[in-house]
Amino acid sequence: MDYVKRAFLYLRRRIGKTLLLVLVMTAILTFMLAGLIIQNAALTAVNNSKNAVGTTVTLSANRAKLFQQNQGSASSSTQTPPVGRFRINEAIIGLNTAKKIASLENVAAYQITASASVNASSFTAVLSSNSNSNGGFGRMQGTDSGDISVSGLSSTAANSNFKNKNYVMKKGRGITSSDANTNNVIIEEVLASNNHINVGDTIKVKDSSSNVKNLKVVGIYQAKTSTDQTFGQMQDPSNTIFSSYTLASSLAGDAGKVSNVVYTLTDSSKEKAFVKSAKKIISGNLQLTTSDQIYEMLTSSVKSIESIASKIVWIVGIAGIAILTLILILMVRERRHEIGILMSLGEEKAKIIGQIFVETISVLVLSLCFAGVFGSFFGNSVGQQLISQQNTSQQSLRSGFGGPGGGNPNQAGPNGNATGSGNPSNSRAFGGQMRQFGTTLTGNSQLNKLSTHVNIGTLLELGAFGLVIVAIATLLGAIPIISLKPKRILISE
Amino acid sequence: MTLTVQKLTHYFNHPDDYLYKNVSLKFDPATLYAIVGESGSGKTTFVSFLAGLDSPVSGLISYNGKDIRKIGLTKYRNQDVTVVFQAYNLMNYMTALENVVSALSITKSKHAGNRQYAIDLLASVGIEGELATKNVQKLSGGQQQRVAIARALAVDAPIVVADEPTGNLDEQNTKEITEIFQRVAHQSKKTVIMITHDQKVADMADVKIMLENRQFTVKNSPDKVSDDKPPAVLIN
Ligand SMILES: Nc1ncnc2c1ncn2[C@@H]1O[C@H](COP(=O)(O)OP(=O)(O)OP(=O)(O)O)[C@@H](O)[C@H]1O
Ligand SMILES: [Mg+2]
Repeated sequence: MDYVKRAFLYLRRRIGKTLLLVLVMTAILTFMLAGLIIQNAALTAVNNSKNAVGTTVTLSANRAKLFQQNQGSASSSTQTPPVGRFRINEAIIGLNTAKKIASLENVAAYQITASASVNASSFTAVLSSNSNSNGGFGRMQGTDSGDISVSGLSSTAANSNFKNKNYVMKKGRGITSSDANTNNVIIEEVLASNNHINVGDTIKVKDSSSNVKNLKVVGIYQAKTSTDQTFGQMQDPSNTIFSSYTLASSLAGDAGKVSNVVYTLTDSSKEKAFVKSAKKIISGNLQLTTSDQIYEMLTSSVKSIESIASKIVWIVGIAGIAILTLILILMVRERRHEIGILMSLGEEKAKIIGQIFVETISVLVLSLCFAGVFGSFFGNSVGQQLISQQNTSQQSLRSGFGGPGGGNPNQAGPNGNATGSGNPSNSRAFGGQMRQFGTTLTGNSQLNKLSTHVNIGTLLELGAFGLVIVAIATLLGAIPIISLKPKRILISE
Repeated sequence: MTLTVQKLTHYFNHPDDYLYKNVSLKFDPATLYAIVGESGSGKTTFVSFLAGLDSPVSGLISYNGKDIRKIGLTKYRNQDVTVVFQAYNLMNYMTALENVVSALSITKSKHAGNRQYAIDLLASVGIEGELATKNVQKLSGGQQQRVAIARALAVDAPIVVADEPTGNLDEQNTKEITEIFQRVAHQSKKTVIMITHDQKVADMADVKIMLENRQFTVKNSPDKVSDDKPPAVLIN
């Protein structure tokens, strides 16, 4: 019966003690694991969002500048949020400018977005359960705002909501670059079924100037989740119809102008050079936002989660070390007598400590297994809690962000010119566009889902940590005993 | 194969309060020694030096002419000496059999791993059948003492040191246990040194060593002394 066998015999014969130690160790490890999981997940999310953003440069209206100009001329006397009051026309990017930039070197692809707000004419909009909440600033627009928002883009396939499967095609097809200069749209399933609209049908909408337009339904999509938490109160997602950006611009009365273009570069190292050349083409009312800047925005919240998580790891770690070390020391000291007998039999000191090691490491391995189960559970719920808090606090930040639009445009190709009336833009476009930003950001940053799975690496990391604690505690407990003369251990009681 | 003590002096606090001074003794194999003396005279302290469990203030203890500190106290305890304590000192999470088996393994005995040998040895001291596989904490005091003795006898160590091994036993058991020690000395040719308060036990020994007034005196039992085999020597 060597020391390893003695160790397992001890664990079995002192099963009550063993289980108690497993319980304590599991509790400590679970907390530490939860912290590590969140920390790792946050780091992964940071990296993912970097990937999702890719090397893109976004061309959009310089909101700050526009805002200043409007403030100067506006005669607002109310304290209500200015966003809805001022009619900021953001669709000021000329298609020619957009295309000129697109023809610069190193542009792999680009996605153009524009938006408009219209009123349903031949059908009725889906009544949102939030319609009376007056929560979102989109509602403040009052009667002149449309009940349907038109989201114009180069291609739905490249849109983040479709890419993330938040929206999925149910019937027909999505919007592609070949839909430029057509009246083709896709509508949401609920809107379609409420109004008995099918693929191939024509629907009528009224634009801001009360002109009736015929739109051809080429596809029906389903908004699976109302992922758009940030702006969720503003509008039922069912009331969004997607079209080519040309249609959206013309419905908004901004024919030939779009609100935002995202350029994907072939090479991230060329970003600076690209921005430099592009800046020569654009006017002061426009701005270029690089993916680095977007990345900063996206990751700031995740980074704060990470810092909370690492604090958890440290606090629990330190407290855990203290508690565990103390318990282990006490348990070893309780075994003074037993150690003395082993010494009197001439057992090597290394093997005496070895036995205690084997025991505690077995307990550690068992606890790690339990912690793996509980830790992923806690990590998940704590992680979700943190995300929802962060999202709330980030809302204002995102609202003020006038930068990037759609996701990664894989669709290249110039889209047609928008032709249409030169009516003043619909002020709802602003809200519509903001929603689009919000959707894009949440989609890209993956803040909604931190992948809080336990991986082997995390468990090993924790195991190594536990090993160090166990080693220190065992040595601290055992060394004072084994350095005594056996007589003192055995006879002076 | 002789255990010798040369000029052993020991005190705990002050040199004037010494337990013994310049003691020299010799212990031979195949002999049962009994150490008697008043409580507090220093018997346990003395045998703990012999067993390598502690070291005296000064003096030399050697086995086969070699200083036991040179042998290494751990190795000495492992190979040369085994101890039976007054308070059994068994591994309390083990059965009687496991106690013996683990001691065989720790001391790398030639019987290591031989379960039947351990069972037989336990049986020879009266721990038979179910008793051998019961947790030692469920055994009586006398039974635990027998297990401790079986453990000491099972290992290969040629020196057996016992501190009042019969202290908690009734007359019948005391007699039986002492007879076992006699057998170990005479049949297994081991050096057996035991402390006792019991005159009858002391009388069963080959040599009686008395510790009185900080002095050791040796008294060979008359019927066991022969000229060709002097059982004990007090070197002075
Ligand atoms: N660690 C120690 N520190 C100080 N004094 C000690 C220590 N150990 C023993 N003593 C003292 O040394 C003396 C001898 O003790 P020891 O245990 O050797 O006596 P003993 O002869 O075995 O007595 P008993 O017959 O009661 O078992 C006692 O007076 C005791 O108080
Ligand atoms: Mg004593």
